[in-house]
Amino acid sequence: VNKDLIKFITKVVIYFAAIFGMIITINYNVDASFIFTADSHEDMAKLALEGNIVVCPLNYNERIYQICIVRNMKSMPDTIVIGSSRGMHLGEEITGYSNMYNNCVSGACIEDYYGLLGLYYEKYGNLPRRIIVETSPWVLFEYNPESRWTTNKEYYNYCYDFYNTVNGVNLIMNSNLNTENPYISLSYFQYNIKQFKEKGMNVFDVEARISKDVSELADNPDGSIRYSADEENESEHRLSRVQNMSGAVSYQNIQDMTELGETKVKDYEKLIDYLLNNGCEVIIYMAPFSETQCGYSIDQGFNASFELVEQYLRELANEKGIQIVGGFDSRKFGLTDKRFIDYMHVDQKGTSIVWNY
Amino acid sequence: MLFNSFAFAVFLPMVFILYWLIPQRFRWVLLLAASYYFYMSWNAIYAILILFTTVISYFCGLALERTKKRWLRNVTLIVALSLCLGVLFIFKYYNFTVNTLRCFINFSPYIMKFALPVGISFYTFQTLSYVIDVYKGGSPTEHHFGIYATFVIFFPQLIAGPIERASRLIPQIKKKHSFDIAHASWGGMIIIWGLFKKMVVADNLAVYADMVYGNITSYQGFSIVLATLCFTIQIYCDFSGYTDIARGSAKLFGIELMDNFKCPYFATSVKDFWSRWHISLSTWFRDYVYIPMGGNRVSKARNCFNVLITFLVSGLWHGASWNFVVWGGLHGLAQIYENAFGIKPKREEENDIFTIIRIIVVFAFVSMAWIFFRVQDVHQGFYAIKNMFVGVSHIWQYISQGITAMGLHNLTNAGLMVLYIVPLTVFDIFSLKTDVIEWFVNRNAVVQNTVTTILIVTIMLYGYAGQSTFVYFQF
Repeated sequence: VNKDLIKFITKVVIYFAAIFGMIITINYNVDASFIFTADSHEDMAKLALEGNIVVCPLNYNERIYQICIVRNMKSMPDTIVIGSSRGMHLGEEITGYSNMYNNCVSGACIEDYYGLLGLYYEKYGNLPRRIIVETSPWVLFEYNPESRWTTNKEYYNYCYDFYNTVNGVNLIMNSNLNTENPYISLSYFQYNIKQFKEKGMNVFDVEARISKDVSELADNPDGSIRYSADEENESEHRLSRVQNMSGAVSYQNIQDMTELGETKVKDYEKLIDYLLNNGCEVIIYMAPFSETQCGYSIDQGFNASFELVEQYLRELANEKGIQIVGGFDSRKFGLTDKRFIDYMHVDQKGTSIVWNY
Repeated sequence: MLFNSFAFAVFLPMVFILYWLIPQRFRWVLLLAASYYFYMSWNAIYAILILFTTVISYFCGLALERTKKRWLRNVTLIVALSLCLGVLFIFKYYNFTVNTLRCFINFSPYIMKFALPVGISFYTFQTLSYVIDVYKGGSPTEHHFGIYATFVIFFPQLIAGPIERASRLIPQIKKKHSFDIAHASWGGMIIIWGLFKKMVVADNLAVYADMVYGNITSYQGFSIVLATLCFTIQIYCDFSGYTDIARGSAKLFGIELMDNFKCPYFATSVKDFWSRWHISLSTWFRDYVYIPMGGNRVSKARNCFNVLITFLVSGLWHGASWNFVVWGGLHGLAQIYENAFGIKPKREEENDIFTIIRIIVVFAFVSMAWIFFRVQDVHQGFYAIKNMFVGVSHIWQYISQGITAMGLHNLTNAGLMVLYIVPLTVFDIFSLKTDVIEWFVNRNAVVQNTVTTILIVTIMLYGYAGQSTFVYFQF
């Protein structure tokens, strides 16, 4: 055999070994989506379901946590909340409902609605009696780029299975994570690097523990959020942050939304119809944006979609005979910037005002 | 199996090692088997089509060699062209034709629901050039069916070219190759450079181009200009990146494919652009469409007609849609204009300010024409042209709004854009003078390994990691 050939192959093997070695090492050790290990989430869920307030570590995966929560539940709650961080304050204290659990996850999109409900359907073969659906404008945006629902294969499967059940179809999965081996996945490698850059060594911090300090971000026993005291309590610092962050909202590319997404509306309505047909009581909840934000988004028309989505939701609720609570314009509820944590998250007192308006 | 996939990263080294370990006489068998496996990894059933085209063109080649009767030779040629082009027509142009006819005639035709077989335009043209060359006596007939089949389906250039001529590729398949580490290093390096162009530059710019062109009627002003510029660079890096990987892969087997790109965005006229862009296709159209129609050895009016027809057909080759025809027509009209005013490509030594101005003008024209290549239909193309300069009278507001709408006011995004484009521009500037890859593989090991490592790490960190096909695969 030609010596040059051996030399060339050796060089290629070294490069391949270095590339794949690096990818496998980072993917396995950082494992930001907890594909290889999810034990700490299981521990957190068990602590929470025992009635404790549990600390939310900086690097925990909310979707995996919800899988663990539903898996460890002793019985199905009467009422659940699904949606994004904008609905996380809704708990037993604010709504007055008992036997309730808040399953909201950050950055929820329509696929998350299916995924979260799919958790219950898979375990109980049924759904809770009352479902509060927190709906933000971008949920109905056709080009919503949110992809967190695809980062965990198990969660992704729940979403697909329930989507197929509701829509009577048999979609074929197309997630990269589903087709790629996570050990050698380049997309997972890049995601891990990004998480490491953002969170530093905290990326490894997922220890489950009970919160004994109000300065910590935590989950209440009913799944609702307890922001850290620094964020939850009214202050000049918080107020200036709310006002400075306001402007045209570009979250999830919502500035590009000029009409309701055709497929999103179809998926949303199919879901609502399915829930109603199965005897569930559905409540649509719209969380408000801050006063200054409404000035930009609604008065100056930077986010024309807000009014479009609200009008659609109200018409839908009217047509289906379902209850609708809240609205995107905080001024309708007499809320000022003082009641906000940031431009799109109202605090606990503000949420209570909106819910009971 | 995409060139930028894990499957190909396993497939290519395996074929490479086997190729150099087995005796010369079995190498074409390996290449043939590997190529069919490669093609069937997309859609196994479509291998029948490529086999059909191979068989038809092979036997027509033999028949042409054995008969001297003119009428029989003509009939043989017509049979070959009809059958090969017939397959292409059915799979690529049938729906387009009946949909166009429905605009004029009221009828309900059968609409085909098959996916377009990948690479069908490329391998059809490659087999057609073989049959026509044999007919004209410009190429010897290949008697060995296996070698001929390997020529048709040779995997590095099967899906998106370069469209090779039989007289160039078949002798290389037959030739006894000895392993040459310099050739292999060149091949390896150009594959990495091709991956950089595809995964880092093209796929990341595609995000911006797709954002606007995916919903074009929601945009106007400078954002359309920026998206068009992004697409201009995207398509170059996408296609030339593919070609680089194809050439590098072939070189690993000791086979040299033709260069398909020669810094096209440095062209000083539209005619010059077509001597630098997709060279294998433009020379194909020159040799088998333009010259047979009379080329430039006819009256001026007839020459204009020949140029226009050639470019309209070229547009249609790219896609069965009227926007591609408009795109081809624009290039044809531009060349007619250049011919009428005697505008010729500048010679390399004529580097002056006017040359730079001409490069910018040609680049602007080519970019503008790409709009019709990127849009879904002609109406979208006209919308983009009509609305791209809306608000230009307030120039700063026009620019800043466009930049903000694209998300490029964010320093990270803008910085990454520079990271994508600067190495590409530097590479192309040096390419005008020398083969940069060859220059590079002749440097010492430290330089080679450092640059290779930087490129690989950049691809790993910034390369688009999702499944992204190549733009020209659809043709």
